[in-house]
Amino acid sequence: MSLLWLARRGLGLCLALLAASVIIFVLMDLLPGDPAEIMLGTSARPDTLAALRAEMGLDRSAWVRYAEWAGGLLRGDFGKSQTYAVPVAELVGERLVVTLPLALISLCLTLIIALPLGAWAAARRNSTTDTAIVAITQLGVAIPNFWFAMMLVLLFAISWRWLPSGGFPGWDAGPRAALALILPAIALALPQAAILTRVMRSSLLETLSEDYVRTARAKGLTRGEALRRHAFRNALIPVLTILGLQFSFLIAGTVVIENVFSLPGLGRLIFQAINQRDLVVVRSVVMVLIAFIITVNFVVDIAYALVDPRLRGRG
Amino acid sequence: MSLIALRNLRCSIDDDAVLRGVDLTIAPGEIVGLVGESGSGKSMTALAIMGLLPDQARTTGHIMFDGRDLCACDEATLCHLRGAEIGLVFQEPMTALNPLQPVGEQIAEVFMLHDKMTHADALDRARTLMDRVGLKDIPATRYPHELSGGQRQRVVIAMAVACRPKLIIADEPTSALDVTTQAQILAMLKELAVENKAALLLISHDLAIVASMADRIAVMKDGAIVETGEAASFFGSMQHPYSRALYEASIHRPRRAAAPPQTPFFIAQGCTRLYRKARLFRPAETLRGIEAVSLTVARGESVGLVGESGSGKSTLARALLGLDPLHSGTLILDGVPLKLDQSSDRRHLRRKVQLVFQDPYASFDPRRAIGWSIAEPLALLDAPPSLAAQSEMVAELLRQVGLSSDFATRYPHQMSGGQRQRAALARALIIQPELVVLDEPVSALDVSVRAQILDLLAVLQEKTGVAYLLITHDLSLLRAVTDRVFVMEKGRIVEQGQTDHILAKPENAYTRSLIAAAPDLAAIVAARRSA
Repeated sequence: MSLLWLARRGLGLCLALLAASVIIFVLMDLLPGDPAEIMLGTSARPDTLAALRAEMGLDRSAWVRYAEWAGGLLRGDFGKSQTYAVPVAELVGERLVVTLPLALISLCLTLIIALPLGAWAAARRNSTTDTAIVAITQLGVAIPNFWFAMMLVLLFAISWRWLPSGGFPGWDAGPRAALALILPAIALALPQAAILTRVMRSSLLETLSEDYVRTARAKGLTRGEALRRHAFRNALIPVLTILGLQFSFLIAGTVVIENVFSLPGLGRLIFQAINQRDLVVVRSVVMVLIAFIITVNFVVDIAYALVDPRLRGRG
Repeated sequence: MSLIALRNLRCSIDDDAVLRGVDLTIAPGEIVGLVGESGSGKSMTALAIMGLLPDQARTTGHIMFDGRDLCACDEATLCHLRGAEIGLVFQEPMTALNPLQPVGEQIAEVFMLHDKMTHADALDRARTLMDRVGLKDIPATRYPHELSGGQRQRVVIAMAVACRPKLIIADEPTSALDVTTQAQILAMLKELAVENKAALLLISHDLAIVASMADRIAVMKDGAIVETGEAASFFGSMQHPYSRALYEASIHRPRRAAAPPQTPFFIAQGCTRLYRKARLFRPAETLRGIEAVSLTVARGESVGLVGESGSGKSTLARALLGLDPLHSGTLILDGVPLKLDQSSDRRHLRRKVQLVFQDPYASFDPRRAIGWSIAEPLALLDAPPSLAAQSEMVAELLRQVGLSSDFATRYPHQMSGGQRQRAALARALIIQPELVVLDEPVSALDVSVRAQILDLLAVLQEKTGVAYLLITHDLSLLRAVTDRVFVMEKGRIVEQGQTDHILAKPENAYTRSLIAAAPDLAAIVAARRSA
């Protein structure tokens, strides 16, 4: 992987973060309406309003406020929440330990389900198995995840009482904390897995018809060996693209799923902050989520280069 | 005793008969050339022998190989035979290798599979084999995209001969390669076959290649072999009318009068266009391009531009059409230097200079009727004719290129390759240009169609007085249709002059190597007959 390549991707990452911060700031601070008034409501007393304005620095120019906010982000200082009266960084830190494991578990689940299932369907093209997998994934793509989450709760938590229906006991509770994440992770992962299974299947079908798979067969490899040794890795390239895109949907999905399962995660935090009009929290959490997604896509780019030697030399 | 015998081999795919009773035998160590046009079933025969036909294929008949019937073998037996007893070399070296695996690994896989070697031993053997197939300087850790087409084909050949198979099948092994590379690859294939005492089934559409390589020649048409014979005497004693037609078409030269000498109307002077690749902390690297290229074309003249891939032919063509800006140099049209940064001058250039591409399918918009595409250049005129007048012009041009006027409403996919190339000519000629640049106009066509298109080009030139700039790597084509020729190497013109003169007495070493490498059917046949 050439240095130039990495430098370009790194620069792209920084520019994307910068652009995201500008857009968030412009949307939330410069749009018509007084942020302080929005936060306190129209019935607020003038002196409270003035105090909040001063605290938020609304009397200063937009440039100064952006510089302060962005500078704070770089130092890890995300401002102070109006509702909770604690630093936002602390809030985000507490919530991240729920959302991050949740997202990672669902991502792993998605991969564990989608890659073998897609490969299986492709290897048995037009068989009953293939048709069944295509039909089921079609259904999986169509089902909304919050409804699916409720069905999971109904079945596993209420009827069978195997798993908790919601809430999070904290990581100090050990295995019970992990159990609390199982249903939410499944609810998040299955619709994603349905999409990825279909991508994996069609991508593998395409690579199976490539000349180099025929070459592999002409060497004396069986159909299965040619698939495993030559077609599979080539088929992963488009799957990676979709996986990178899916991650942002996964993050968006946590907002809904954390609410359904009452998990104290980032998604729930942002939802509550919007309800409470805690603009400082909303602004910073949105920035954290975006940074998350941009970084994941950066990692996907690097993964591309690791999988595909053709991309390594290119600028 | 034959090594392999195909007896009444029939195959149909989705009720389409692709093989209609193929009978062919190959003796141990024999080189058999299988020729025919596209769709005749050559590749299907190869795949049938390998047992790699598509799943929908239904096969009957017998393929007796070394005492057993491959048609009756189970998949496991075939897997043992493939790669070990029968090696296969494909047409497309660019796509025949796994892009994600180093080439050494891909060769080693054959040894690990059939000789049950350890990974390290197999890699050692792969290295030795790479040295043998002329890849001494290529590290085994290279990926396919880091190799040229010729080098990739050597890797494919290495895989095919790795286990010293008794039969090597080479399906159009060189049709995607340059002439000099082609000559090297063919010589190596023959050498390896002789060295390993292997039989070689060489499949090609090119009679010259087959005539120069094979012991015996088989001609295939519509899924059956119509004639076979000893190569030395084959072309003197052909019985089947199709074999004769194929031969006639291959050596066909259109009747055309040499252009009278005239002052050039189109001049390119000192054209330079280089491609650069940016690098971090180092100056930019200059990649291929064209440098200080000058050429002239006179009215009614046919000029050839020849060189290997990467020599800058296509870059030059794009520059001459004003598609890419020049870094230096000028184009002069009718004595007036063109300012290519001005759109009016570019329009003027394109009214006078038109282009016909190599791939007639890719050069038409698939969602537009052919008539629409043919009329499109009329927009270059200052006052485009009315729609009614346009469709009349389209009909007239279709007639001139030998198509009926109802082709105007057809779509590209409803036409054959030859018909599409005729339509491409009609599109180029509709605004009566003075020069048509032909970029490999017949290399994607079968020999019989190729002969027709060459005749058509000659007729149109006589009728309209248009000049041609023919870009090709095919020297027999140059000899057949051009008056003058420019030889291009590494972005520069290294030799130029009258075609007959250059081909007979080349002065430049590169030109000589091109000519030596190009198979010339008439010469090969004459040589084999006298031998």
